[in-house]
Amino acid sequence: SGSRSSQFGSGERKQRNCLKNGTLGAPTSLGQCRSLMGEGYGAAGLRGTLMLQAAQTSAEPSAGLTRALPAGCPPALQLVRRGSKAVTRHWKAMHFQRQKLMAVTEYVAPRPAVPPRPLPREAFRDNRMIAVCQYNAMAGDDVVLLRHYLRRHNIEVKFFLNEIVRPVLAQSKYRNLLPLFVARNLLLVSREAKAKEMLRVLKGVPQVNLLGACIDDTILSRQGVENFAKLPSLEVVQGQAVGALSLLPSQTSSLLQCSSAHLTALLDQHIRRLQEGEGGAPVQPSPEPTGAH
Amino acid sequence: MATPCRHLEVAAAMLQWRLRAPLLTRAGAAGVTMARAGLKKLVMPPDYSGIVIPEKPKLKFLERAPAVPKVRREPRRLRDIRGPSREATDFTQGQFGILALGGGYLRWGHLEMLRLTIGRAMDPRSTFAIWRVPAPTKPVTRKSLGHRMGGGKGPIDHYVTPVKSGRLVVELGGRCEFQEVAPFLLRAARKLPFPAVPISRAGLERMRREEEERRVGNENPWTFERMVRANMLGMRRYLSPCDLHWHGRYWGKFFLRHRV
Repeated sequence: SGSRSSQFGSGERKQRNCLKNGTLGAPTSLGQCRSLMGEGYGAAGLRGTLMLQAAQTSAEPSAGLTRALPAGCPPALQLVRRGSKAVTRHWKAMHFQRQKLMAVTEYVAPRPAVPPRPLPREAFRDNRMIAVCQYNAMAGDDVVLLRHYLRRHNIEVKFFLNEIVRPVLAQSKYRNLLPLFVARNLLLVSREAKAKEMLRVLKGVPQVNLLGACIDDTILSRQGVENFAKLPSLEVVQGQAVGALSLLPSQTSSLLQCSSAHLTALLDQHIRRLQEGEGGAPVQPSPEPTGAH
Repeated sequence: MATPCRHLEVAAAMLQWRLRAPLLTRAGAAGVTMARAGLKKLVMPPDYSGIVIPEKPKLKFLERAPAVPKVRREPRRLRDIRGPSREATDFTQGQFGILALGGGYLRWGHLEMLRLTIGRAMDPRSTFAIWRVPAPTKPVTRKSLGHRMGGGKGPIDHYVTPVKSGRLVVELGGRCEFQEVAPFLLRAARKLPFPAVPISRAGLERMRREEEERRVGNENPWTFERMVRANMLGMRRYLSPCDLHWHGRYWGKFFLRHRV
């Protein structure tokens, strides 16, 4: 390293001399500072200290402002360092200040711009069945289980703060649901009207009480939901209605056709009897053989 | 009537996976022809057209010691495994390789292990392998056993190849997939004296892209580079000049992968 240190030898020697004389304690003037450090390094070091002061005076770490500021320059000239070699064989413990620096400058993952939590407006807009339940203290495992059981039937469990739900509901068509949102609530929402499955799951969870529901834009009380759950499915009801409607015309038509059909049947019977009276055998061949061999 | 029909349908269902054209079947006594079509997702096979397998596809034997006329003892030069590698960081001919994620010295035994493991596991008709590290040239001296301290530098014990972080050690290519070569590359990479992983060309690109994304998308306004450039809190006093270039991502021979 002899050839390399010869380039910077004078500056380093000057620094050493200053160190020996003990003037490093507080560099008072610019010239003294320059004499302490090398020519190029002095400028960079000064700029660095100025930057440091600026950073300290603007104490609040507002990211946008601090990023806009220039972040200093690398030194134009590096003094050759003496002393210990770089340790490359094994892990060397870092200096404590450096450990602090590493901890401060850790990577922080970017947060998504929009919070991933769904908004109550969307929950009310997209779902056909919205049930409001009273939510009492439960173990976390039970909540997970409840969610799991409800998700099997495509029913989602949503937790919204009342302060957030109330202004949303007050402006929407669901404002009649507002009296239900008084204490700790939870919403069960689904794209299908699966009241029966919901009631079956809630029967096993005493901590969650159904207060009311809005199914297909109809507000139902708890009793109403139970009645709704007892109803057969829409296809069955439609079939019943069609059957009831078609019963009367079919009865009318059958009554109208009754006399004529009765007459035809009598005539048929009469013809058959006449044919049997004529001699029967040639008209209807009997299965047993008549001729003798 | 129903039984033969059912047979026909079963046969049609069995044939469905091998016939790509819509299959016509007679269904029922009415003679209604019904067109059946299945959805197929066919993956394009990789293009191996430009690949030439060299004459000797396996790894070349590397000499244990350089064939120099005069044996010279060198200084240790500890920086030759420190920091990021500048050479052999990208693929040349192959597609897959072993990437060093830290610095270290490869001895002849490591190189032999790589050569034998890869040579045993790879298919020489469809795959080839090349070295991305030279044969050992750096001498390492040791004093003999039970020797008193002092008396000058000891004799040369062995030769090593210094490898810096981010360097490819071997490269594989040919008509093969990464899933075929990754298991034995991983087996070999675990035995190397530094952290190393098997990687493909696309994987290396993805790794670099992710690093760049992490660097750009870092939410922490206090980055290492910014604090060190501005010499905040007089941090330069505790840092080396290398930290100005490497931004605290390397510490000795170690590569701190989680840092940006």
